[in-house]
Formats: sequence, structure tokens, C-alpha cells
Amino acid sequence: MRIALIGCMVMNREISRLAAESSHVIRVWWLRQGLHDTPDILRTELQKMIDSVERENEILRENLRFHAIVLAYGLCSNGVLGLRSRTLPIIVPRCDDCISLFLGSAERYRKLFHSMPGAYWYNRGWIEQAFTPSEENYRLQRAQYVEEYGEENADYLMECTNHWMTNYTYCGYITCPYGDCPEHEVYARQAAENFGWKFKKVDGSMEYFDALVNGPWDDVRFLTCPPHSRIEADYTDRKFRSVPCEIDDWEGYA
Amino acid sequence: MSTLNEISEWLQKGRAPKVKAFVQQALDEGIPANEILQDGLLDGMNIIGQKFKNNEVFVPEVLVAARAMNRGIEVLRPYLVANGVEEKGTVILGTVKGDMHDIGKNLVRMMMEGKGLKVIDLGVDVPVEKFLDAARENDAKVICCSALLTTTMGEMRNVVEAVEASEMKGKVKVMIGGAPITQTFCEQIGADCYTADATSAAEAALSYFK
Repeated sequence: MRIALIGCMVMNREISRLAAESSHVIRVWWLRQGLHDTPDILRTELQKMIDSVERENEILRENLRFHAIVLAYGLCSNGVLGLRSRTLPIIVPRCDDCISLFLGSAERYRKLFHSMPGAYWYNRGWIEQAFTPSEENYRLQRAQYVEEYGEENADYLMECTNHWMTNYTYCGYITCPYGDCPEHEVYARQAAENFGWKFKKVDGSMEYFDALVNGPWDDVRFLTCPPHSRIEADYTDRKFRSVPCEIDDWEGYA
Repeated sequence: MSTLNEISEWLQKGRAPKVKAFVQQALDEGIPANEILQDGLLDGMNIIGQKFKNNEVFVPEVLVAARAMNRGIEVLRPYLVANGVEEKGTVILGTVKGDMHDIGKNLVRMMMEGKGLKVIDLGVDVPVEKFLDAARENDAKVICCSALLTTTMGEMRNVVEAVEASEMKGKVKVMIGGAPITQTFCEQIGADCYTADATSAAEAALSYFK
């Protein structure tokens, strides 16, 4: 099978590794980490990529055409809701976000979410690709506030935008299943110490990633959204359903 | 520029010391406290609120403007109380259970206070019963629930159902908001109102007291 995979850079190591070793032919398009903060932009970017994959597919020789589009995204602040295709099925994992993928299942994430209330998750991808809480990152953030809003407002803005951290209680460090970097664990431990969080190390897993990249996409863990349907939330643990729709009907989506 | 314009302009720039100084100057000029509030402070805050709604300014601009407004109100408060300016209604506000995030919720509080509403802020990780108890104790007409995470937004359904099952059914409105929340979700859980930003939330809450 030939797969077009659109993924968030936070998962680039896991997916690149699996894609290289897959029996399928997989081409990957990456979006930068952090788009979940602006879900409308995430949706727009993903749809642009889906459209471009399908346009390209039309001009490819038949034996080189893709058979499916796989999204390495969960709900991600609802950024994937509304997405649709004209010719290819879209596969999306039934989970809230990448933490379920890093942990191996949505079920495991739900359990940890309840047993470790207020947890900030660190792992290799997050440390390499994202803004993660650390003293150094906060020093940079404060300098930016001084530049843009003046010294008199900087501390106040830091307090307002980072107050949530005082409500968190855990630093969850997810190990990298194919070889961990000790410096990343040191980084996470340091953050836990600086911010007064309990440090907890949990094993990462490639299981959910493996199923995502290689299939088969069972209905329990994945939604397969057929062409001329859109991805909708079902607000249960299944996260998604597909609903037939006109390709240009975007009513209800920004 | 008139003193009230100065207040509005400096507030929009988030310059709290300037705002305080011009509020004092306006009082010294004999401008009534309520006029300073409406045509100076709230005028500036409304402009920032509209710009925020239109994505012309972002969270930090609103935060510094709100702080400047609060500093101005501190100067005015003794005069406002003396003149008997009353609050327009009481709103219960909080981030739902399991969710520790408060930037959006705090913005909503600032915008609502800017509209003259009394806001009882229950903070983050608020259990369902606490929302209801606070509404009862404070005779509030509106409960506002915030959530940042898709993992916690389901708690809002529990708040709606608890209000429905209580003596407050039909009397207390439940408003919801937060990054993953949509109008579709609002309709699905039977909440009374969804708004996409803090400015609209304050406008919607105020409409329940008119």
C-alpha cells in the first residue's frame, strides 16, 4: 500500500523510524509542533495538505498513487474536526493528542490522566520540538515580554501566563522506546525540581504508532473517514465519527 | 486630548501608572466617578475587547490593559461606592474538574468585571457541586465553565445535568468556553451559551441581566 502521512513534528522520530522500516511505501509531510494552540490554523493547514495530496495523486501514474491519508494527530484541541477528502480515506487515531500515541494507547493515557492529576508531559519529541517549561525558556519569554510590553508589565505577564504551572503537580517523563537520551531525562527532572512537581518516569511505547503507520486500522483505535465525509467529534472515548458532507460545505467551522 | 481620552488611550497601551495618574487628574477636575469609569476606563477596555475579538491584539495586550483598568478602578472605588454605583449581577466562574488552566478563565473574569458584573471566581479544577453551591450561596444567575483540554471538556456536561436536576433548573444559565469548545458541543450537552472569546462571554453574560 502507498500511504500519504501528515504528521506533527513532535512525533517525527517515531514515525520516520517506522516509515523507513514499513512494508508500505510511505511519504510523510510534516507540520510544525504547536499548532494545537491555534486549532483553526491547524485545521486549515491540514486541509491544505490533504487537498494537495489529492491533487498530486491525480497526476501520478496509477501504480504510484496513494491509497490512504493517515493523520498523525489526535483531536488536538479539535483541530482535525471538519477535515474531509475527495478520493482517499483519511485515517485518524481515536485519541485526544500525541500523549496517547507516545504512551501506546488512549486507554493508558486516560488512566494516567486520572492517577496523575495536573501532569505536564515531557519526552524527547517535546523537548526537541516544543516550548516546554524550563527556567531557561522562561528567561527568554520574560525578555520577550520586556521588549514588547515594557519592564513594568513583564513580571505581571509572566505571572498571568504561567500561573497554571502552580496548579500542576506532576512532571511525567515518557521514555523513548528505541533509545532514550539521558540529557532529556535530566532536563525533565530539573524542570520538576524547579517548579515543585513530582517526577514520574513512565515507559514510552511504539505500539500505537506502529498500528498508525502500518495498519491494519481497527475501528477501536482508528477512525477511517471515507471520501465525501467529514471528521466530527462524538464526545465519547471514541472521539470521532465520520459524517457525509458536501466537499465545500464548511458551515460551522471557522 | 481630554483627560478621559488620555485614560482610555493609556489603558489600551497597558500603562497602569499613567492610567492611575489620569484617573486622579480627572477626579481633581471634578469629573463624576461614574463618567470616568464609563467614558475613560470601560471605553478603553471595550476597544481592546473588540480588537481582541477581531484578532487585532492578543492575550498579553488584554492582560496589561485589564491590569491598567483595575488600577484605575482602585483609585475610583471610594467615589463609586459613595455614589452608589451598583453591580449588575453575579456570575460564578471556574475551570472544570481535572483542568488546571486559567489564562482564558481569568480573561473572562476581567472582561466581565469590566462590564460591571460581580464575578465569583472558583479557580481551577472545580468539581460540579462547587459550581452549584456557589450559585446557590450567591444567588447567581449564570455559571460559566472553562476548559482547555479535550480530556476535561466532558465535565461541562456534568455541570449542565446537575443544574437540570436541581432547583436551579431554568433559573441559572450555564455558559461554556475554552479552546476546544464549539457551538456544536454546546448544543450537544444542552448548555445555554457558548462564546468563542472573553469579550463575547462578557457581553452574553450581561445580556442575562437585562
